[in-house]
Amino acid sequence: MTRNAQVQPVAPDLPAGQAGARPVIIRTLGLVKSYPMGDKVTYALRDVTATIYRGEFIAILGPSGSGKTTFFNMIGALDSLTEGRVLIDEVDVAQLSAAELAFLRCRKIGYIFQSYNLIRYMTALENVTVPMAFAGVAPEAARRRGMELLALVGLADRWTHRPIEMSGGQQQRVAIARALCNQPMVLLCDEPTANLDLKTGADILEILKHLNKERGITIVCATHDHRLLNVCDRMMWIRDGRIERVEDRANITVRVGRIGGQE
Amino acid sequence: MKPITVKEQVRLSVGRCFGLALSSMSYRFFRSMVTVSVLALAVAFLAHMLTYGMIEHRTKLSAYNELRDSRSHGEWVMRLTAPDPEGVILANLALGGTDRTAEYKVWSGATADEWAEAQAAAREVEAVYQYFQGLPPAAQAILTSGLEPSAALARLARPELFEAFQGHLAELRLEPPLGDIAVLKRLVQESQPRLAALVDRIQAGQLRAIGRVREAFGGQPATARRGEPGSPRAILAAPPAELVKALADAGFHFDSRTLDGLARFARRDALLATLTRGLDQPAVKTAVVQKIGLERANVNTSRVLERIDSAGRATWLAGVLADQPQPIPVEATEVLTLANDLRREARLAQAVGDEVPDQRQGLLAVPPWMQWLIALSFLVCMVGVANAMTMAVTERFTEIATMKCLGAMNGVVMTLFLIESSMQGLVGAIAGLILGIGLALVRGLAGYGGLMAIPWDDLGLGSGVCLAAGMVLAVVAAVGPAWMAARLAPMEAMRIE
Repeated sequence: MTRNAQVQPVAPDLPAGQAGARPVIIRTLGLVKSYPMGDKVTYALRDVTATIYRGEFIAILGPSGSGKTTFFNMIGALDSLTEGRVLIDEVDVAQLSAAELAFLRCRKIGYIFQSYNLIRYMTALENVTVPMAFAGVAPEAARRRGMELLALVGLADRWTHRPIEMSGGQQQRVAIARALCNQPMVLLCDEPTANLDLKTGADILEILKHLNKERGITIVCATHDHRLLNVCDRMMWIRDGRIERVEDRANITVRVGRIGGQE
Repeated sequence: MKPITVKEQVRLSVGRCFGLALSSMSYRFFRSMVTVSVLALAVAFLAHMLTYGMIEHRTKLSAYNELRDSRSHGEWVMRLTAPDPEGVILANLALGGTDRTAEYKVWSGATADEWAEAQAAAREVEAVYQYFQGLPPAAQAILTSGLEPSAALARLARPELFEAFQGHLAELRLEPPLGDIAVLKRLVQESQPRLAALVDRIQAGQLRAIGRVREAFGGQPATARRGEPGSPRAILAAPPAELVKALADAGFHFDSRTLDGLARFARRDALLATLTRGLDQPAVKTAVVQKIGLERANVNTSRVLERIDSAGRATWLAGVLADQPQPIPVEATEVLTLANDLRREARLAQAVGDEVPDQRQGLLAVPPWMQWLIALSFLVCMVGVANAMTMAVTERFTEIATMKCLGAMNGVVMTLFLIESSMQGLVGAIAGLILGIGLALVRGLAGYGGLMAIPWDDLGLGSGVCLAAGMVLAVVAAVGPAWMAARLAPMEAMRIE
């Protein structure tokens, strides 16, 4: 971790980061997120302490409203937290300045959202180049790299299309290309296949798996989709804002049911 | 394994932001145009009211000023006919320092002390008049017995009426005029009779002055009638040098520009008199009836001149007048000019209307009701612009949140919105200005035709105001909500919707 010394100290009450074990990339400590609702308080997350290792493909599972998306937003430094800490490569996100947060979001973490969140009036290529524009990449270089990434996700011939002219799967692939454009180290996916049909969802998972295995990108994937279990290394179940259990893929036998003849 | 190195995000140059904003605007061209159109409409409304208000005012003002010679001639005819009315004299005394007060001082032959006292008394009298006029109608009727203020004040010189007046004041629980009943008493019993005497002396002096002027032009002091030598109109038609001398000798004050106008107007007046004389002759009347188709009873100077609208008709009229047994020589071109002048003056008078326009120029010179309309349209413009921009920005909160997820700095987001809103504001304001001013010009042209006067200088200022209002408001209304969304964490901003 190369960061200024003054923000370096990690509180002594932190559990020693699994010394000697696999290198950790993201850790959360006692994460609490609550929303005041009138005079009551609704908890989205209650005391979540989790560890995500470098290079792994971890699936976060849980029913709707269990706090998956909130957890995802927290570890992506996209939302404010009520209590606890998020450490990305042992740096507390709360200690980062606005400019450092922007840097982190721009170049170190790639986000893939359930609803794609493409900018709707831009073409596929323009959507992919947006983060590069913020990173200060020259427009020409950004276009070239954008085309490469669109080719990677199989959309090279659709670069002039706007989100409204593309199917959900195509939009999600544009979103993946966008997430990859500044070579992130972590890819955070919030239900990437939830809005897609089975076949398209499988394609997306194939792309994610490829990225994880070939490029060594850490992938955190909040999902309902049990097909993901074939792809991931570890699974984490969240229920009612708490971590229910964490298992290695190897310790689980997954039987995927058949739906509609595919699969 | 490579550690995550966190540095500060690069800060994009203004040029890059500008490029980003431009491409963003071109992507959402249609939506931008909708916003710009609403902005343009709002600004157009303001620009229209502002411009039309100024055009109307300037047109009335220049029409009023163009009619000044005609008014001034009428006024001098009055002044050379009879002494100024008491009200005019009192008002000038109270005001002090006008051309007229100088004349009055000479004519009255008052000493400096007398003069100072008269001026003070005149001011008090004016104050009492204003006091009467400011009362509620019922109280006014009781205190003045329904008389004009001057008559009501004069009555108070009689002690029993003064006491009754005091009684009324006590009953009505009103402050006495001038704040102190003793001051009022001194005014009605001592100062006012002396003031009235002075006014009489002034009027007598003016009458003597009028007589001197008339005699200088060979007329009878009091009896000269219209058209005869020594009548006011004949005097004013005299050569300027003689007129200046005679008026100055008699103690009248005037300025040279007034005299130029008077001379021009007097020549015209003489021509009018000649025409009137000609049109009185039965043979001329008959010719006019046949040619122009007026009824015989309606043949008079103004009706006939209304219909002299071409060189042909003017030549014909001049010919008819020259053909008479006693020929009346008039120049056809002069008749035509006179007819055209009269027509123009009628239109000018119509344009001016009843109000005396404020002689000032600029945005604040328009009449109060117009100022209200402009203020109202300013409000409408503000609401329109603010609403359009706020809507356009709030519907982009998700986009702001997405941009922040993708690593946009708050500064970049704000710069983008600043650039975009100011360009939209500029384009909208300019389009609105063109539209609003264009409409005002069309409306002015329809209302006043060729008389319309365009206040170019004030128009520049007004356009500046509209432009600034449109742009500043657009920027403020856009940057406010944008900042609200940008300063939040990305997901918080996304939740706002």
